[in-house]
Amino acid sequence: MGPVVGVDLGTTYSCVAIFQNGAVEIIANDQGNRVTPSYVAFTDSERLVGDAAKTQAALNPANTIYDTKRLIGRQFTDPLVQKDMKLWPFKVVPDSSGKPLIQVTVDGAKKSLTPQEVSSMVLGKMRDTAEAYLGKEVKNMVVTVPAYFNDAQRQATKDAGAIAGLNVLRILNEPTAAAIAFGLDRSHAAETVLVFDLGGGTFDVSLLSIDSGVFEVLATAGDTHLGGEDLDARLIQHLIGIVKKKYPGKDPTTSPAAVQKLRREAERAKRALSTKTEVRVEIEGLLPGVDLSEMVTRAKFEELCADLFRQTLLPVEKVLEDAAISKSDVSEVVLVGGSTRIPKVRSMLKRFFNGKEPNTSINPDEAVAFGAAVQAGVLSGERDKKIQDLLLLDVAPLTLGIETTGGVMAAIIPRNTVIPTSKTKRYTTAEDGQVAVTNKVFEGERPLSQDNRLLGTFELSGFPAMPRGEAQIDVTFDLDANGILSVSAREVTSGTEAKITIQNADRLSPEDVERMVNEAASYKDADAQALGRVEARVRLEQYVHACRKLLKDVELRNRMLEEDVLSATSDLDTVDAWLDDSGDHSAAEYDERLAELRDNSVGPVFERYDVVGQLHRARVGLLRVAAWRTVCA
Amino acid sequence: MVDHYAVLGLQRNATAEDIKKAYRKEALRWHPDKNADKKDLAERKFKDISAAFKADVNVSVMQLAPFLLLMFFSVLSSLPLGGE
Repeated sequence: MGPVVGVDLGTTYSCVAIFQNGAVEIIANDQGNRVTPSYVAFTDSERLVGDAAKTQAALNPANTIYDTKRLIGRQFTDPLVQKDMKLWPFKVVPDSSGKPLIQVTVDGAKKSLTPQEVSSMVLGKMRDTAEAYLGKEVKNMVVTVPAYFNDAQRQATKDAGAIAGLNVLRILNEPTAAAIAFGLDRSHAAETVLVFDLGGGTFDVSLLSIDSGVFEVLATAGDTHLGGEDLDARLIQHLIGIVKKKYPGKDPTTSPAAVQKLRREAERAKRALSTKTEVRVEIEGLLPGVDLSEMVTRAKFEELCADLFRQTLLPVEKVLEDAAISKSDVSEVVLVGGSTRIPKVRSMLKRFFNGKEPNTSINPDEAVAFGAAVQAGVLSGERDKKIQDLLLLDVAPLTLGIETTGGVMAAIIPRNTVIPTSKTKRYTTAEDGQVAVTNKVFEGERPLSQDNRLLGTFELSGFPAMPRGEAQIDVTFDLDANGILSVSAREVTSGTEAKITIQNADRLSPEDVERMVNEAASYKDADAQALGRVEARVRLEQYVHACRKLLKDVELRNRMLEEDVLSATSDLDTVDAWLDDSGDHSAAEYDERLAELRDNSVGPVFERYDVVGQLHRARVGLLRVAAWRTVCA
Repeated sequence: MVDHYAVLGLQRNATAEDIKKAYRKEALRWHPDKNADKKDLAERKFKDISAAFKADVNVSVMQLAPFLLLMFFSVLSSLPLGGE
């Protein structure tokens, strides 16, 4: 199977890890960072992913994409999508079936990307990071999602992996992964643990029992649209208000670059306020003639976000209620996700649990990837005593059911059912001679189906006509270990397998996935081309550099004829000017110039003085620069 | 009807704690993650075990109230088409 890595695909940051030799390694990227921004950007010549994309965000706001986890598996008309769009500097448009597409400009042409494609680029980057570290091809991954992600969001995340050419072995719930990180090396008696996972964009609460290696999720709840980004947004709105007041007639929201600057500074201020009680936000030239310099206190920040903080307690109450466990029975409250560094979040939780101090023993940024790597180890059949008795028993986060008479939702798989699971319900026909039945599948907790989310419609057909009530149709809901649903049906009296087609508006068809895989491959070609270009350029620069170094060598200069020095210098100047003056050339053009220098102009000159061997020394250092550039690309 | 106790390898007089222990032991043995070589069989077994555990937790409560148990079965048998 090859190595299986665990990836935390976050709203704002992603992290990759591997379990090997009995331990988990968090893998640093080419910049030496253990987390990578979930950013993708398009410049005129290249595609950037990760740190390189985030760094240039304020310069290239319209073509820098982030937050795709807030789009994935949602409809364009989703009120949350509509709200988020107001603060995104990139453009989101609906496709023909109402799914959101992100529009960027590549090489002067408009290009539309699905959220799955953008996520696939981030996953591809995490794979590259792992491959560079392991020195091996990586084909298999465990990818985490918020526990409260629905079927469409899970499926879309799996599709993102497929587009990147990866086999997603498991979609794992983030708080469950964090619980493994917490419990793996803990030799404790059975305990009940509440994981509070407030990340960049999503919020989950899971209640687990951990007993001798068996991690059993008792209940899970959350909000797939609550996290650090929402806190940033409150701060951004606050700052925009201040600018508008100080500079009447100026509106930063009209400039994507200004919003991007505000976003960067708001995030920075928020982080600082976790350790300081006040921080100054300063942006010079936010807009032409507009400078921002404003003190923000922790108290003000808490006031701006008060309702969001309060919201986080509702899922805590819900899981305790669902699992019928009292506050005092919770042995540890484990904090995960960067936003749990916020003092207010901690103090609120502490008060809720009657003074119990939240547990901060695990790294809030890396715990999810850590747990994913452990599960990856389990699934890859790693023989290690640490994990051979480790088992995750996870649950379905949302009730799945069918719409019955009067628009009432009939639950088939109740929420918090252990997965994988199958449930079969028997249905019959309502009319004489009926040969087809149409059913709507919903997920959600509301009693009326119209208030829940429509997953798809299925039709059973192909069974013989019978008087009403005589057909016996067994509908089986199958929820796999990823929490992804499939439905099958069988008419019992005739023994016919009824045909079922799930028409799910949110899922990519296999054809779509294939098309995107091919497109991703074409990026790979473009990336390879960019790599070739950069390498060729570096080869040429390196040769010029080595020549100049030689010319500075006193011993050689004393031996050289003045006219040789002049001609060599002038040839090198010509090439340098060519390198500086215009943008990117093709790899062939660089190589052509290099061959010209080496074989016809300066090369033969140096040959006469028998110093050509020295031209090949500086190479190693420069190639490292090349490697750095290419991994960013 | 499936004998949930047999599925979990338990005697009829098992306590709630016994049931939980047996469930975890059997789950560890049959969870599909632990049986890559026989995934389909394991998945079937695991689903049975989970279903048995859920049912057993309910039944063991009912043992304390035989009346409730009786009602439960009479309601069950009066249904022409069992739900599952």
